[in-house]
Amino acid sequence: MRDQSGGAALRPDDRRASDQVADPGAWSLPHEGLSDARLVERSRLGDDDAFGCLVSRYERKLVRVLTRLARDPELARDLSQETFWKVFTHLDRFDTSRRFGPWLFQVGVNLGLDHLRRSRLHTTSIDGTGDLGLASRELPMPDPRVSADLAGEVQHVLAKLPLDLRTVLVLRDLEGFSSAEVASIVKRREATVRWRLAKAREQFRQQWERRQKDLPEARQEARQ
Amino acid sequence: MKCVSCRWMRFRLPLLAGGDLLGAERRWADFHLRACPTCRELLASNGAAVDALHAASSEPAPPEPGTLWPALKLRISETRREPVLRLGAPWRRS
Repeated sequence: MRDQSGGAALRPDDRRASDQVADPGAWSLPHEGLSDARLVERSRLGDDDAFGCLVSRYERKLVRVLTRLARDPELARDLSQETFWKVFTHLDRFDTSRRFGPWLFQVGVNLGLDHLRRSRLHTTSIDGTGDLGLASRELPMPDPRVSADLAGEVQHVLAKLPLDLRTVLVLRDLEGFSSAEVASIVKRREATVRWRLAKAREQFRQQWERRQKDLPEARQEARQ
Repeated sequence: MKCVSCRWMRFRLPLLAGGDLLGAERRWADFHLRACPTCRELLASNGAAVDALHAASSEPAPPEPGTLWPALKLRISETRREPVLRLGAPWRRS
């Protein structure tokens, strides 16, 4: 049962416990050994620390995924916060026979994509560019001397890919989700995900090789 | 063994490089690669790109500014207090 605001209904004892926010970052250790499904059940009964344990389990990965999609760590944290809030207010709809992680990432990735698409529409209305145009508008071409590290290079090349291809590549190759899990997260058939994955890797390869060819010349110039 | 064309192969090379080509398609691809140096070369190029992605995935993440939980917990507890006040108000007014 839920109240109208979307929060789980509380028993009197639970309400007192939830009011104790003096040490908001702490939760009791017994939660650590519980499965995600048990933590969801306890959260539904008003055990906030059980939800805190779920946040602790998934927040780093969620922030990382959203940072890789949005290329903005601050925005990624805001989107992650919204994701956990949305999940918390919809816990009653979660089927505990399914896995919690893919559901959480489905909510998070879709929030992220919605946000990025809205930004793209806004950008398109200003300068008429598509996704690639957005990439070059939001993220100016970084100086190769600065982004010399591998992760920075990969991130730069990823930013050139269309959003739907970038999403699949981040989830499969950078975060290690299976194709079936990626399909569940992006709400597409597995065959569609495999098709996108092939296309995304091919585009990444072409951009990556071009970038690797240009990089030594740029570094040489920098040294002179 | 089914003989596949280079065109069939090219689309699947990125999947093969990332370990996502399985079953019969994988066997046909292996068979084709044995006889096709051009596709083998392209596979090596695909493999290098996938290796870069995997290497980037294992790089340590930069330190994060802290857990999201304190702000979330505060939001949860504030939301739970609101209905109590709303429910209580009409009784007090009468």
